[in-house]
Amino acid sequence: MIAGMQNVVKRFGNVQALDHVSFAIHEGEILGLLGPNGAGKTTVIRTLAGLIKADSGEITLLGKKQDVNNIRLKQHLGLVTQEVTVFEELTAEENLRYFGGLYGVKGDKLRQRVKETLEFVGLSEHAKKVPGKFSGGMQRRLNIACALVHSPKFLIMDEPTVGIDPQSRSYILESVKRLTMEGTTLLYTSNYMEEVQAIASRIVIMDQGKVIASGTLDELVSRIQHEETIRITVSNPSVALAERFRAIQGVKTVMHNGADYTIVSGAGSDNLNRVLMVAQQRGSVSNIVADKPTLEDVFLTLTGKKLRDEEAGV
Amino acid sequence: MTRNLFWVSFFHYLRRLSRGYLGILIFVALPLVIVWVLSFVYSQNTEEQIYVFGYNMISTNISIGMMLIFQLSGGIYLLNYLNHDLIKPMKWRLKASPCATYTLVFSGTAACLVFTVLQGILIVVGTSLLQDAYWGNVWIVIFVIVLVSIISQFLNITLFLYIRNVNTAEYISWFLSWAMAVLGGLIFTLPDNAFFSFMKQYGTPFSLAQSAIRESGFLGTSSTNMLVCIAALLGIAGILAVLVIKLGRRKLI
Repeated sequence: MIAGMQNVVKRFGNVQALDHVSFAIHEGEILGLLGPNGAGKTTVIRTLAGLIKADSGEITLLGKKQDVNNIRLKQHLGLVTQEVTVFEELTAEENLRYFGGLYGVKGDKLRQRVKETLEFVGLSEHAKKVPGKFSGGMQRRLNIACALVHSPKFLIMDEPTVGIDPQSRSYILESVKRLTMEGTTLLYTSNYMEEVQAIASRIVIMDQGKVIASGTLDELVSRIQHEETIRITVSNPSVALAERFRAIQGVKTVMHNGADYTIVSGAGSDNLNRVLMVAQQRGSVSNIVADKPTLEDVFLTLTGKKLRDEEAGV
Repeated sequence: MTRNLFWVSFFHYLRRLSRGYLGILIFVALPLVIVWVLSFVYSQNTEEQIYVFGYNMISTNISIGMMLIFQLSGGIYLLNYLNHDLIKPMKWRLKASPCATYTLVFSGTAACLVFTVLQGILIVVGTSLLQDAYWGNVWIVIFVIVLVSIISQFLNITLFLYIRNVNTAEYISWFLSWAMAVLGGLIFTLPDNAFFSFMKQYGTPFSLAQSAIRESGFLGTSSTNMLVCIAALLGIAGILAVLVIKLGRRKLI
């Protein structure tokens, strides 16, 4: 385990921001922290990074007890803030030199790291430009670079892709994957479920200051999977075919609309092959899809809310 | 490590200061322009002897006053950096680094001090060369500039720590500088009584600095007076330093 929280509680006045939060992050993994605004994700990050003090509970980082102002631990930590926090009056290169310097990187090593980091985020050609001349996506990439220049063992990314174009987002997600291949452990928070689904090896879902579920995507999906849905389009549709589908073991309902059939079976029925076989006996099949629950469905089932609706409401 | 981080941050702040072109314009070019305009206007309306030993006495009075007003306001640089680095979202990135908050504040203060002192010296040089202003003993003048700049930095840190609203703190800082200039007799002639005489010579850091500079050359009457003014400025700087340390320990760490 590279970092973890055990029964951590944090209150701000009457608001319970963290309610006995526990989870662990293992070396080399990307842990996705998912939750609507106000779920407590940022408070988790700030307590984990030693920026604010928890009221109770235990936080460990790199095998040591984490506390506020633990300078030795901070040396191995990188934080990508939710807002773009770079110095507007300095060039990209100067920003990186400063943040590298703050972590004790100096001389040739600093020069080398600044060069490598700019290359990593694709800003080498813009090293001498000030961030004010950058697009939103480039500013976000510089924001990430500032947290990477000292080669942290553990990187925390707090919604690093907010408000950027899809191209920059996919660049950032690819960079994140490359980072873990290079041995960095990551805690990645996001409001975008598809991002977490795409990169995280394990996922923690938070709501109202509590961890409400955690595990791999498959584990989370299996927890909520009650039904399997198969959609099939055939060349010779008929009522009789619908009846044949209905007769398959485990099938609950069959809906028929023109050439399209929707067949709902109980969880674990594995009826895809059977449905295909039955359909092929009556003619050709032009399309067949088995709908798998997504992280969105997991989130909706567990919290009763849609992440995007929450976001739009804020 | 801490010493290394101090220097990293110190040069970082100096670099940011050197990129603040508007600040340089306000704190160097503006006082020079004001001195030039006011000297020209007042020279037209006086019957007193303007030049003494080859120095323009009107420019001298205005230059000393303007330099001191802008030195006393120089802490506004620091105020804005503290706001950006310790209040706005940048604080999370900096707090996440191994650099302690007090190291950042010390280095920022030192950088702003060096920068504003250089600006003050530029005004001294500029008004000497362009306006024939008389500045007395150059070493005393530099020492006084350093003291006034220290007072300004500490005053602005105190305002920042107390008020936490940088706009309000900035207004108060400017107000205090100009109020001190008024009490120092720079803006208009003060009533001739014991209170205003005292205020004009010793009542505020502005008056003390003004008196110390004037007493360091032929405009003065006593070097003891100059030493008293400098000692008083040192005392004020010391009191503010204690206040900053106490407040900083409570609010910054």
